[in-house]
Amino acid sequence: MGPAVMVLGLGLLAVLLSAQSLTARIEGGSLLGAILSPSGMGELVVHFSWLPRLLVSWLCGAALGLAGVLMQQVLRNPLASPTTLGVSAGAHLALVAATLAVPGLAGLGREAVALAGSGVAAALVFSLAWNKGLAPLAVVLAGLVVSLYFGALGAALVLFNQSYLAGLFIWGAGALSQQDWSVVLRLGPLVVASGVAAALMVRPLALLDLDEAGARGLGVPLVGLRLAALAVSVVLAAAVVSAVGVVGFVGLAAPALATLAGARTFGARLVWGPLIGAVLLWFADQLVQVLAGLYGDLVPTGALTALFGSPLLLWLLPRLKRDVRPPRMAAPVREPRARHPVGALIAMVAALGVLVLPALLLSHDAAGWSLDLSGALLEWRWPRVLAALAAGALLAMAGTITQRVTGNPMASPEVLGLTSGAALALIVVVMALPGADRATEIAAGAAGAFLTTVGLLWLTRRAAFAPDSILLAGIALGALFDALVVAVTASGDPRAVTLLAWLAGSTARVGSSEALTGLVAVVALGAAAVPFARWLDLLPLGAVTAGAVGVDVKRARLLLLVLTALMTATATLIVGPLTFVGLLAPHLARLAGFPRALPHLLAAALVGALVMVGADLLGRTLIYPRQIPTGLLATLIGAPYLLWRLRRL
Amino acid sequence: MNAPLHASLRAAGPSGALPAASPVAPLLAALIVHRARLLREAFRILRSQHLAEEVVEDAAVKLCEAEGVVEADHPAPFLSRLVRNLAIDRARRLKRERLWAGSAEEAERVPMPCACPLERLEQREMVGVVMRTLATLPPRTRFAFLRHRLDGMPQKDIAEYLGVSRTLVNFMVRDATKACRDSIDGYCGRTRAPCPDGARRHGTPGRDPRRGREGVGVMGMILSRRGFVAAASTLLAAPAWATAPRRVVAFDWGIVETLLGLGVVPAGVAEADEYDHWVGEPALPPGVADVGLRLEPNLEAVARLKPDLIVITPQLEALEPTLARIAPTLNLAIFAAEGDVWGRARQVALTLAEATGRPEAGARLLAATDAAIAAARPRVAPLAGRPLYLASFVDARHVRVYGRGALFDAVLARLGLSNAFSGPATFWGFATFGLEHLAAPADARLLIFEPVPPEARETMAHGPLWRRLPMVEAGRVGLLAPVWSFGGLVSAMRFARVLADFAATPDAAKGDVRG
Repeated sequence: MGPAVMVLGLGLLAVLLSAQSLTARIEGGSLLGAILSPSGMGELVVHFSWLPRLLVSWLCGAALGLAGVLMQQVLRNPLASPTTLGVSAGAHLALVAATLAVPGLAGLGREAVALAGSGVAAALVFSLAWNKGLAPLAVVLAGLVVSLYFGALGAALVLFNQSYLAGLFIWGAGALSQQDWSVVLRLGPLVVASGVAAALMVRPLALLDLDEAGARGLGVPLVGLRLAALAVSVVLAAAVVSAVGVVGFVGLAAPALATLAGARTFGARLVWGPLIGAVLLWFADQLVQVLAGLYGDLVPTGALTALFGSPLLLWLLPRLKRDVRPPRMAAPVREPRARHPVGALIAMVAALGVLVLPALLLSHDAAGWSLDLSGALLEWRWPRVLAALAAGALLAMAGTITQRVTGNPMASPEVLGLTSGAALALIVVVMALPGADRATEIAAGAAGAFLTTVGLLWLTRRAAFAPDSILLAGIALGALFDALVVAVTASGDPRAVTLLAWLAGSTARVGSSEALTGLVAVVALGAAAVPFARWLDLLPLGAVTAGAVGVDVKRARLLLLVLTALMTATATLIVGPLTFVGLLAPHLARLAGFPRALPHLLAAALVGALVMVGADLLGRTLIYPRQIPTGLLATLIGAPYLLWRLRRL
Repeated sequence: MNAPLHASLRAAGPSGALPAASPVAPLLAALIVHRARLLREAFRILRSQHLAEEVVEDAAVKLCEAEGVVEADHPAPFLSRLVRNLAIDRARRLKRERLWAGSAEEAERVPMPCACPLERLEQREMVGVVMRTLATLPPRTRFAFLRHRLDGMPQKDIAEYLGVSRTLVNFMVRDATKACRDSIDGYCGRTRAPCPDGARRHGTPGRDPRRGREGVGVMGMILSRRGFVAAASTLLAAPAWATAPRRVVAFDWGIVETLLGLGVVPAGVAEADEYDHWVGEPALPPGVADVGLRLEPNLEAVARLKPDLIVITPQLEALEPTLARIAPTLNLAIFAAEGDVWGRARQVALTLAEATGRPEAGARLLAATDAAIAAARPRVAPLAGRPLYLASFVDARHVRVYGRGALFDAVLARLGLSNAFSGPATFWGFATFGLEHLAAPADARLLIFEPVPPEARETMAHGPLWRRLPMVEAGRVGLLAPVWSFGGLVSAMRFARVLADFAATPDAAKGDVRG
């Protein structure tokens, strides 16, 4: 099947749907009349709403397809897409902040604000990956961290001000509805100009299909080329995001579909990618209009494309070409070593004890700070302190194991999408079964994490659970999860806001049973990890080396992944999917001088517990009686450190 | 010695005023003479001056009642005997009471009105069963049943109010009663629970639980008006015989405004500062504590207030067990997936009034709402000719339109106005869509709630499609003062008034003059 057939087939469907939505609106007028001189309400609606919306769907689809093609080529990652670079997270944060700080500003230039936010996010990503010459994995990971961080900040602001931000929920889900031609007139020239710019770069970009050295040998200015191509795609994505909001998956799916349909060369992809993107979004948007009937954009188009995209993505994953695997990143060469490891561990335990005391007793209310020794508040405090401690330790251990198994310093349960899987299952339960009790939710979350793990294993089985494949699949799952969360929050359902609190990592609702479950999990799963210490010491050396000294690499990876899934599921149910502890704590423990696996695991668990208990204490007291969710605060504390770390990698 | 005297006293029966020269007169005179001694004797038994005086007074009353029956040759010993017997009786009763009852403070500390938590749970479940059954009934049937059973409204008046025949009302009440009875029978049969009264018999094997009317005992309790109210209020709220809750904590603003409308000032409210901004009326008095976010209340802050009643909405259901550890927790919904929002708003007001120990305030609020609607009805007449869109802008291109399930929609219906939007809506009763969908019907009037976001003001000034919408071209667009769209009866009253105020402005007449 050639790409042309695919475009024509999808286009035919889209035309049929368009005909139906047009006749429903035009009320007996003529299309020609509507275009040239509209008269009568039907023709007016078509002229000012239906037609511009049609063109916007073409333009946005083409823009996202083009941006996707460019990014996937530059980052040599078939799962890269405009959202990967933090563009939408940056735009979202900027809009939230602007709406709250200067309510009039958003009215004057929502597009400008969103564009500025996207630009800042993309610039941050580039600056972080600059030292690595904008190497693909560095860019993807920097994009991921920036997305998460900006997303966390945005989520915090939304959580505390949700009444003011109803409009942003719609925008966040990508609603294409139009009432004049201004968006078309702004986007059109931009898309054309970007297309021309991309066409000018066809030859050097095509050479990126070679490996890095080969391309450089042929005289390709790597950094400059990457910067230029990424800049074009960021501008395109930011323009779309600011005009109609987050439309996920088109940027990811269009280039992939083009490749699958037989566009083998980059030049062909550059032509067919945008075309397929345009037809895809056209089809999805018309489907939304026909489904919704005359009334209502009850389902925003962006949310629908996300739902379309998820099965497509899962179908794509096993078919990805292995030879485009991104290059590995080297681990830091010199590692510090603690002079007295036992003493250092004891000091950490002591620090944890010292921190738990104020966490349990310190109060901050209208009267100011005070130590509550009566024990009246203990009843409410101990479950959340214990739960925070357990979740921190679990995520830290899971992160340590993941980093050692994948040999990748940026891997963590959050990055692998395990937390996303658990969260996804929980969202489904909350939305589908209102009033489900906590036990059902816990079971659903655990099932989600397990399914994700099983899916990861299945998807990456051909690659012998190779670290990079797992990482890519995890990132893709995370993107799917984000799209669904956006769709759910855009539905305006008040339950969505309940979810936001949990998604942001609130420990406020943790009960004593969950806290005790967490503690049991820490002890049991921690003990279960001890026999694997040798594997954990050897696996970071690489599959070949580890296999040479007698490790059954495949089996070791499988067992350790299952263990990680268990730890992650338990922790996610307590603090939600959005923390950096799993990523942060192993690094801190390593910096404190524990290079061997077992002490590393223990130290990481202690560091994770310390960070989470501290975040819980601060989140509870800083703006009493409001509470900053623990996971969110941990992210806000931890992410800057990670960004700084990333620059040095 | 005591018993015959009592028997004779009882046989005598009550009598009128004491005649001047009755046979007991000498005894009464002796009582007055020996009062001090008798008091001392009673005091020795009762150890209380106050109670001793009461007993002596009782003795006097008994003598008066026993006129013509009692004659004593020796008044002084007879009186001592009488007073001492009465004192011993009283002492025994006090002892028994002290065993079973406590002081007022102790009473407040007793958490449950009945001794057995299991029983309470079952009764609560049973009320829940009845409540759920009621919720499934058609709105009119439920209305008729509740008004008749709970408010004691005559069926004649209900028929008039609903505009149906009395026979139909009678049938509706009968159907609802039968539905409730069936649900209770089903519940008892299902759980084999040791149901109280007659219902217990259904648990015994070998009997058809649906046979006959043996459930009448429990039905009598639940379906009699007083029984139902008492059951609902004792089982769902604080014990009815303890003092009424004074410290209430509520999170949902619809509940908060209803509480304020009942004259109950909550001790704690979620997002108290934001309440002023979004709801505003009735104003929250200063000194009400902030207890965190509406959907993420701060448990410590709640516990610190030491509330005696917490009111939540189904959105916080997951927290119910936790909150119930702080204080009795009431879960009320004004907005739900199905059913009628108006009936629920009224029911919430009544339940809150019962739960806070001021049922009369509930009736007053309902009456005030009816009065406000009735007062607004003639005033909104200028708007009656056209269907109305009620909408808020969410951004420059989208509006939130209120339809079926929204409080505003219910108010419109009661004002005799028609809603132009009848499409599908969320369970809060609104739908969000692009402005272009407001083109039909062409004769509608569009009412936009303030506050309008800045970017939407731009649309209202220059939007090309907006300006060409039929109702905009004809000038049939009005701005309404802000009203909290997820509120209860108080917001409903405010909305009726806002609408009536708008109808009085020149804007309301715009676009009605044709040609």
